[in-house]
Amino acid sequence: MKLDKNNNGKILFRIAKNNLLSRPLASILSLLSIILASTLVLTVAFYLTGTEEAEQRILDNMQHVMYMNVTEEQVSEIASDEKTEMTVPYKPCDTEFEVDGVRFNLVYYDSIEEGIRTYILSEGDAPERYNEIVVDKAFMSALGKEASIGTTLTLDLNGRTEDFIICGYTDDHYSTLNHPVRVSRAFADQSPEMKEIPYTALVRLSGASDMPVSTFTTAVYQIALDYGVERADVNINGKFEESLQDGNTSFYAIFFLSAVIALACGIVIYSIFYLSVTSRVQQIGQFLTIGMTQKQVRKMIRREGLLLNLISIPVSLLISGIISLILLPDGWDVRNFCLLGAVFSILSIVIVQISIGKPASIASKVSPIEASRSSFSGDESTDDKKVGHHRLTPFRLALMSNRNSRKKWRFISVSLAFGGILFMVAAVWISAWDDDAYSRQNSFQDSEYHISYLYDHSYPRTYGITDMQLTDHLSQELREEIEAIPHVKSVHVEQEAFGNISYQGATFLQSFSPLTAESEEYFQLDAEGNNTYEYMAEHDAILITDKDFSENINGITFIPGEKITLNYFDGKEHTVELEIAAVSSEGVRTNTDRPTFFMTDQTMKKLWGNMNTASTFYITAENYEENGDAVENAIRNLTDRYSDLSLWTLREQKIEDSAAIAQQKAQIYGISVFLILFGIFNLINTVLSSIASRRKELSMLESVGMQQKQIVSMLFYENLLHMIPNMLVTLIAGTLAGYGFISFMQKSAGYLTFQFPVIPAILYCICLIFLPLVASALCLRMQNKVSLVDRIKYTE
Amino acid sequence: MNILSTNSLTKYYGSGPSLVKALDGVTLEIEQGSFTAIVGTSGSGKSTLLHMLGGLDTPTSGSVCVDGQELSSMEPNELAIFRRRKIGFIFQNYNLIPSLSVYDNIVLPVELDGRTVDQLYLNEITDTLGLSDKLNRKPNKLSGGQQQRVAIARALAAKPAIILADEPTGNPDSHTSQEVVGLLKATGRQFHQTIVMITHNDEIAQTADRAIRIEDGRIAESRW
Amino acid sequence: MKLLVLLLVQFCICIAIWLYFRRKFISFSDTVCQSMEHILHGQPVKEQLNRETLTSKMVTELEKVEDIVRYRLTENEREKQELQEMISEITHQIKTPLSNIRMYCEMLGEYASPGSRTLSAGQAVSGSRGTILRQTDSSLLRQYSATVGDQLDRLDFLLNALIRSSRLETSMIRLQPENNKVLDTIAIAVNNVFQKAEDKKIEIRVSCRSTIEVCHDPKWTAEAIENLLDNAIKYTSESGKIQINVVSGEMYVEIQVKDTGCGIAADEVNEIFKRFYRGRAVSRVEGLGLGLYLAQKIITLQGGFLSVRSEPGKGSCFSIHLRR
Repeated sequence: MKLDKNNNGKILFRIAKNNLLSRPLASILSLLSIILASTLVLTVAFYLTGTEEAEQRILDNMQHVMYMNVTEEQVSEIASDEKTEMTVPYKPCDTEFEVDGVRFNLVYYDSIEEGIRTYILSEGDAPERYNEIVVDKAFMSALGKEASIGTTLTLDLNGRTEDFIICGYTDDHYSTLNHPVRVSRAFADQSPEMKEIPYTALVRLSGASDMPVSTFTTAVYQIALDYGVERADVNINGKFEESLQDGNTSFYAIFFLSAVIALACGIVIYSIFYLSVTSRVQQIGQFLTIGMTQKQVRKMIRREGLLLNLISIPVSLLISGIISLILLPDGWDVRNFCLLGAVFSILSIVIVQISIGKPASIASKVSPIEASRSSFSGDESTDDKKVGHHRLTPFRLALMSNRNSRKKWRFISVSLAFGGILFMVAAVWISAWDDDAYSRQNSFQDSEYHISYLYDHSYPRTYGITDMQLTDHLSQELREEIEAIPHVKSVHVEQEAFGNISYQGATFLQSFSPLTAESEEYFQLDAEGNNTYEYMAEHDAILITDKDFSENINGITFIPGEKITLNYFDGKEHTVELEIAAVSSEGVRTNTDRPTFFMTDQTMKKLWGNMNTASTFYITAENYEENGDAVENAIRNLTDRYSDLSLWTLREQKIEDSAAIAQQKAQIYGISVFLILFGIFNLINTVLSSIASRRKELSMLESVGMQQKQIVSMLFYENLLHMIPNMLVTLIAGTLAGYGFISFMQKSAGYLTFQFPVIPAILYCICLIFLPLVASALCLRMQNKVSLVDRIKYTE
Repeated sequence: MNILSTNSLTKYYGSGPSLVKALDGVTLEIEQGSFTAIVGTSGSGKSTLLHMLGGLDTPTSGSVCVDGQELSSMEPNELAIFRRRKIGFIFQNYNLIPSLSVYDNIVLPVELDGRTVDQLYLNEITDTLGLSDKLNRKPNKLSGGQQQRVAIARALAAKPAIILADEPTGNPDSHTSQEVVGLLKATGRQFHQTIVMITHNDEIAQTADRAIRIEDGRIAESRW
Repeated sequence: MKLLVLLLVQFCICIAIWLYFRRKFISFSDTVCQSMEHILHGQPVKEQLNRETLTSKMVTELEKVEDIVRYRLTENEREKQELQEMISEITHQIKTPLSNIRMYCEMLGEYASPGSRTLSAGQAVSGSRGTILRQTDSSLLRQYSATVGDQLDRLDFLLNALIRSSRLETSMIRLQPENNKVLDTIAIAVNNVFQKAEDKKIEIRVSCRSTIEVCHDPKWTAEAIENLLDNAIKYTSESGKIQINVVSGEMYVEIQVKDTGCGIAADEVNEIFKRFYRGRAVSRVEGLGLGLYLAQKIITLQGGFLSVRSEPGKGSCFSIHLRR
């Protein structure tokens, strides 16, 4: 910033502006590219930060930790501790009730909006008297009743009916099959269904959001210790804990995506400006003769880019703001918007300037003598090779022209390839999505119906479901009955036995699953200790997988070789000591609720004898799409006979997932559509600007007698010669990239499966060949509005 | 004093059998304030000589010295600045910037240097050249002769010390040729400008202070 | 307290910035003044050559101004010199008629004095042209008086032309250009020379559209045209032709005066417009050499110019270009 510098910068802006205005086609195309790219990046950025923001807002209204099985005194003690900033007493009742075919459950907590959001009344008041309740409007509509204050509702509470008066409504808008009915404190303390249920304290710790994870967990357990809450009863809000750990994952995602898109946009801009500069050689020569220095020429081209940017920034901010608002209204935050907007605006300016740099310096290297020559935009490196004489058909001309402007075509190819790859990745992503796969991802991978013992967590039992197993309801007969249902393919029985483990001072209820000699995958886990069937069978020792989970919950460390004390029940109480054979931090299956404690079937037989250790039936139907409902009805008929069996189906899972699915789909389709648009747009862009830059050349051909038809067919052959290799590259590289992308995504979203997107690929190929043709034809027609003479004469 | 001088100026294009000798050892000196005409048949190297004098092209060998400065030792940027301050070019094909208006075209050299436009003088020139009502048009809306006059106005607007004109009267009719030459001479006298003009019009060559004939890249004759 | 320190620091920073820029400003002005010294001494300022800086731009402009001013000074000097030459030319031109008049006065005095009544026959009297007169007394007197009158006429003509040209030059006479029909102005000029043309049997043809108008002073322009016609007639032999054409150009209106006279040699073409210049071919024909000079002056003052095409032996074409 020398003080003495000559003040001749302003004229460059004016010239740049005029340059842009006098080549409207190229300018608009560049503008649209920048807008599209910026909008894309901004939308993604807004979306990702918005998601975080939305999550944060939810977390801001959720508890940090739940202390279960506490008394009222404990609740008030915890509340008065200065380490806690908010404590809400909560009584959940997991028992499933049903009225008129609609399932509901009872729950007590106060209606609180901020801090720990329990529920928000849309009408009426919170329940105070014994039989006052608050329900959601969806509950009433499921019952087919009208939602008005003061309605009396008779609910069937498993044996006893009670009349309730609805004193308030919520309007929550989320889909659920099990509707919460909020009761009064009086009811929670006094009713037969709920009075035995211990309280749970929902607690927010003061200053927790700023603590590092370790401090937070220590504080949580400290409070538990102080007020006599068992470690097993401490339930930390996982999402909150996660949010304390790192906020960087979304940052990396934004970074990566922006980098990819920035690169694409950069290449597009580069190629457009390269074409524009090489077709303006004469004009630039003119400027140089008049006395423009090289630096001024560079500045002029850069100013063109800057002007385009200045126009595109507000437009893309507007569009991306609107789109992200529509996609994710909860995540909208003015501060985020301004910050991200500013950052990406600056980034886009930087990227455009970088990608314009090379064309600008090419422009500045033009010699002023070019002004007097009227050469066409060819490469300087055309060698004087002896080309034999051939008949000059349009095809030949196409070949020759390609040979002459190889450099130019190289750019076009690269940028097209890039756009094509993006297109393919997006197409692959869309086609990898499967609604069915999403809902099936956890436990429904191989089955569609699960029958299990209805374990009510509100009434914890010492030995878990053992006493229900003793009823033998999940019997062999039931299994055969189910197998007899038409279209049932198979029934898989999951075995689990429960017991109480005491180890290193901790006591907790744990289920064990049996391993047979054929359970190879378990024995091949990377584990400390003796991870073999023989050893475990011989010593009656257990295998613990996914050790981190259990260790964290219980605050212990499993050491192979040591013994655990197991209390179990098979009609009579027993205590036994089992050795820990092996401990592994890995696991075998992918379900979130997979079993982690194992013993051999021999050991299990030893301990529980002939007790039916079945815990869940996994039922698979043939041709689920057709027969699903019929089978379900049949199964339900069978299970309805038993009140302690519960049926959970894939169909119900899908309903629960519907909202999440919709949101995911919106994301994927949204981003993919953008990328696809980008790819196609890039194609049009490049083709149009390459035609625009050859205006003079094409007019020359026309003036020596080439028909429109012949010109069009020459362009067609040119395109063909280029697009075919391009197509191959796109398909191959794009597929590979897509595959890589899906593999990467599968880590967090296992339901995605790679499928080759046949239809989109075909569409793209067709576009690749015919779109340039159509664009050329249109372009030519537009050019023809100007008379041939004028076109040749003037250098535009 | 001599404001323009060349010494054994040569420019060859190509090599071997396709060697083209555009200039083959031209040595001349032009006095400041004079009006010099360069004549010769087409292809004799006149335009090349003019381009060399203006530093647009680099010689194969030999030197060009303008206003005491050796052009071959200047960097492209220095040359550009030199051109915009010291030289006014009038090209045969006008070389107007199509995307700028007539006014912008005329004041371009001045603005590129960050100087302010001498509005009074500019109005005088545009009046004389009959361009006052066309200042806002784009060059492609003007006739050949009018474009030529815009090019002339551009060369004059910055009041450069040297005006190099390549067939400024080549295109329009012979009447306007006289007028153009008259105008150039008048302003040249006013601002002590040196005018070097390529022309194939012998009458104009006669009105010059000096006429130089170029044939086959060499000076054939020099008439005062 | 902190606030005060902050304010103080800010104040100091402002002062520092101001001082810094003041220093830069001063150094800039110093550089320019230094460069001007160099320019005055006629040395080129190497550091400021062709740089993209404000100083360089200024210095280049200053150099240009110095050059133009110096040029105008030298022009002035030249003109003064020309003036000197003109004065000596005038003196020379006046001397001859004056000495002739003196001689004839003396002769008249001698003739009138007692003792020299009659000139003997056979006494030769050398006149201004060296002709020998053998005349009677009264016709001799008449002759003398006529010669003196002639010389006086010549003096008169000379002085008139000089006065007019000097008045034109010093703008004491204002031209009043107005839109007038060219044909009318030509008519005036032709009328004035018609007799002379008739005398030499030279045909004058005029081709001019009556609608052509141009901004000019009709009286003076007519005089300019008259001078051209005068020359044409003078330098065209008997029964020659003079053609006057008026052509409307894009920027100028051209009045051509073509003659079929003896033409002008190529090397004289640039000289003919100079004061007192007389062509070699016409040194015997009478004339002062001021006509073309005056005509050019008149036309130049109106923003136009004169041009000439000529082929020795075939004829000349003088063109007056008037600005539209």
